[in-house]
Amino acid sequence: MTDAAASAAAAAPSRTASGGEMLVRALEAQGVEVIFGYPGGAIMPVYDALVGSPLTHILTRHEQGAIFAADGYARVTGRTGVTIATSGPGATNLVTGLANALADSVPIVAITGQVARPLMGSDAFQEVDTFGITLPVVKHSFILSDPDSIPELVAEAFAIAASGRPGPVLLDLPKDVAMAPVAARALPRGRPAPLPLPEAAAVARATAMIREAKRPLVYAGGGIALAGATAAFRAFIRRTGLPVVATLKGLGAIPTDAPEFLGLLGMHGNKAANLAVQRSDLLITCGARFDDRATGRVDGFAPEARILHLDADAAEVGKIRAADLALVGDLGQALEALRPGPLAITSWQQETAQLMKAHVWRYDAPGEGVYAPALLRALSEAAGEDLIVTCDVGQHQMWAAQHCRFTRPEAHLTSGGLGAMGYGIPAGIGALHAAPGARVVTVTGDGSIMMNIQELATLNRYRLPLKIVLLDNQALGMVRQWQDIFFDGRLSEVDLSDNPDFAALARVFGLAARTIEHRDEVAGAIDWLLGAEGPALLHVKIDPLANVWPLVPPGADNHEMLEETRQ
Amino acid sequence: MMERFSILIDDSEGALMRVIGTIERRGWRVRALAMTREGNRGCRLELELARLPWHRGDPAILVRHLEKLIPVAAVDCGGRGAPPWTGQTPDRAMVPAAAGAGA
Repeated sequence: MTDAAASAAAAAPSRTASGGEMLVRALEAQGVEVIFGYPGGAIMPVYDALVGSPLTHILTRHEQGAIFAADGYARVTGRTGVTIATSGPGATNLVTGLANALADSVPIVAITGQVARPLMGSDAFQEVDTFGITLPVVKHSFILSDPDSIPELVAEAFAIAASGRPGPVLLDLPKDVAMAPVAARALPRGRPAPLPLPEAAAVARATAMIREAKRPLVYAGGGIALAGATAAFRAFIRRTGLPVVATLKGLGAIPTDAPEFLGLLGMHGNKAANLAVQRSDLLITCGARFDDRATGRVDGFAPEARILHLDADAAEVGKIRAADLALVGDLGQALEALRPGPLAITSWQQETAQLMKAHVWRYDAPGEGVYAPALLRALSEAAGEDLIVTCDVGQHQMWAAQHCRFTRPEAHLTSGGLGAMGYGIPAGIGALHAAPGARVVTVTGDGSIMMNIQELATLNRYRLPLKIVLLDNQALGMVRQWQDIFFDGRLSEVDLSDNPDFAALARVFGLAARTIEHRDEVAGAIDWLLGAEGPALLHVKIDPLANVWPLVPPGADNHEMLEETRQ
Repeated sequence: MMERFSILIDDSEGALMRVIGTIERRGWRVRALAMTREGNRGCRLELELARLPWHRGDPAILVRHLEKLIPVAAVDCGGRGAPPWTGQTPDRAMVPAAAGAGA
């Protein structure tokens, strides 16, 4: 616990409350405004306490939808998202969302009901060992076994979730604790612990490394936004003129149309970015973790580069690739402290600019069918600066990362580490509660949308104006692509040609919907989608054999990209 | 090859499971374990760990993963864990943050 006691909120409960009421008041004391959940037996005392609370509760149609919505809310606001579920199946349905939040370092507090303490361990109805099941996928967890400790543990959960490298914290609340009387008292507020500042000697060494490098390159990851260091990062790039590549979660750290930005690196990165990494002699790694999708074969990744690693998490330094120097702690402060002065990198800047020119994306695909990359680019341009894109997982996710324009990291919500299909629509629900005036578009596929299709009902219930672009190739496209390329074309369980009529399905849920399949329909369809009132779905039939290019084969170096053989 | 770890943990629920789980998930197996009470400081774990043959796990990295766990107060592995590039772990390597910063 940090300074919870010192920062006790003024609002003390006016009477004896139940544990459930105390939990709700403790959430209010943390500044929570919106929670996403689904009720059930063991959590009923908390839902009872929500009646009359100023908290806004969003009822999703599945607990996974609730936690993904809390995740989207957290990513857009930078504040801790909150989700509630009951015991047993309610809790187990949160597991994927917890793993997603842990993998992508998203601050979430998840509250689960539990059977009464005397029944715990008795195989009671809807009893599972939620604490044990979730241990590997949480940053920390508590069983709220003492009614009087609820305010302190709630505050501590919020402090832990947001401190350092953020992550999910689980609070498991037995039903008898939720119903027990709790004495009135002040409610503490959890505050994240400050991160260490960079040591002057280390900053001096890092500055010297940057000055000495002939081909320095910045490798930007999601840690920049998590650290609230986007402004410091952009200032650092402006000061130095260093070229930048980004991970999936680092997109938007600088605008993707900035002249210094070379693109996404890694498996589906663009060629300029990957070639620049391979040529670099210093990789300034900012809030990134050398994920296998970014590095390809680790031993062949940036083979000539020294590594300067800036991160909040000491355990990431040297985990995959040894660092020559690390600044562990407050990323924004570290970037602010790095002032190498004028750099003699003009020829390197020219080289990277030439790479960019030589490897621009092409949108001149043959045929009359809809070319998904071109559609996404046009959509992104038409939607404007306030666009937030939430993605599902698969080919469409990579196309969105490659071809949409992102001006800030909070504009691109994607399940990066876990790769959880079904993330997109619930994350869009969360994003719309985080930024009610924003234009939020979910890019999904015909496989992914079915993972959480029930959340269309949530969109309709709250009339959330989410715009959904469903790229339908009648297949699990990414798996099909890999089976084609790496398994000699033996297709196994990837055919989805018996999909439902998605537009009709969306209409049944209360959404406006439209289907297109020809290129000349794209412009009008985008206008229709962005102009539609309320939630709407654009069903786009695309070539079932379309692939995502380029592709670094597994086990290959990043410069060994497979590319489309179009003339 | 065996590595010896000495870990001080508090007695909060799940503390032992978190430590063992982190070790196993990060590519190591527990070959021997002793746990003793250490006054009101918590419990001392003495472990002998073997790295899985296919895992590249570095004991220094495991030390830092263990140090992140909330119930873990201290980890010793023969001085490993301290980053070789600075000779110090982050909380020792950095000057203290200004009061209230980062809140």
